[in-house]
Amino acid sequence: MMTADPRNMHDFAEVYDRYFDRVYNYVRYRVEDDAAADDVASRVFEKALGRWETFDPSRGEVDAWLFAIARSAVMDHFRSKRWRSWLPLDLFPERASSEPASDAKLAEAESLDELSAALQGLDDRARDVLALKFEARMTNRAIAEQTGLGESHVAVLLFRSLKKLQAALKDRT
Amino acid sequence: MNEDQEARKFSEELDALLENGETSSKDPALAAARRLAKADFSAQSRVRESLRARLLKEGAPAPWPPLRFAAAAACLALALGLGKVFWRQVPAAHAPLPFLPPRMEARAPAVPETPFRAIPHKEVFATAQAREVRQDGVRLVVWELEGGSISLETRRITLEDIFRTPSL
Repeated sequence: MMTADPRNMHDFAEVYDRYFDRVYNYVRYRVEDDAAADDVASRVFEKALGRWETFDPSRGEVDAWLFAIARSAVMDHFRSKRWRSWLPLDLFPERASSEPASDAKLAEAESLDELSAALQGLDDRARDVLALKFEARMTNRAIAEQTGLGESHVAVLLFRSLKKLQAALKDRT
Repeated sequence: MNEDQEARKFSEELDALLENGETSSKDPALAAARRLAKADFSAQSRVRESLRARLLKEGAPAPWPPLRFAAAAACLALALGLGKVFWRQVPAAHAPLPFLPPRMEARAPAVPETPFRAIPHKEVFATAQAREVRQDGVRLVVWELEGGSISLETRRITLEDIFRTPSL
């Protein structure tokens, strides 16, 4: 956990560096591909910057604040998906590295693709709960508060989702 | 053991796994959890660095704030000064304009009644930030709104593109 001063841009940069990976991963659990994840993650940090001066550290940790924004951005993404489906989402100024990938990198990418496909086989609520658990690192109680589910329901959802995920991964290998 | 109890026990093991990076449990569902815990999709992001640079640039305070205020004050003074000069030259509103032909008398607007009414307790106007996307001569400016996206696109086209007659 870190303390951040909302008047300080240096602190925002630190929050960005510290949480970008986790926020991106959270978003990637939920959305369909890397381009959508980039799009949504961008909006998360744009919103965070827009609200940075109003962030009140006395009301909660910066990561809880950031993941609440991320969760809302993912919901916005799903709401607007049908409108945005015609936009060329792969038009990004920054391209993936053109260096030839090593075997290890290829294997890792393949493993992530497999995991991503297995995640997409779960329903959105299961992906949300898994993302909050693994990337936002929330307790079951915090997830319950965030999602409006009961704490024991969260535990059951995690249990069922991971069993289903394991079965899907086993089928793929 | 019913499912609730099983799920609670599983959650404890999962918490231990996330906390310590490992757990002694042999539950097969924890294999998926181990894999998820190790997975990092963020290396596939294409925007991490460019987004960081853009956000920090946007959030950075404007340089030389005293100069900014001085420039604003100078503009205001200039506007007031020019306004004063022109104010003297404009004839009074009720005086008829000497060069106005009789047929061009000011008429009431075509829609005199207020066509727009204020919606109580609702914000009618809002601003939305756009982002620019460029590639291969195509420039898109995209506004992400709550209910969808609006985009403006500019690209090089030829006369044939405009006057092309589709045929079956």
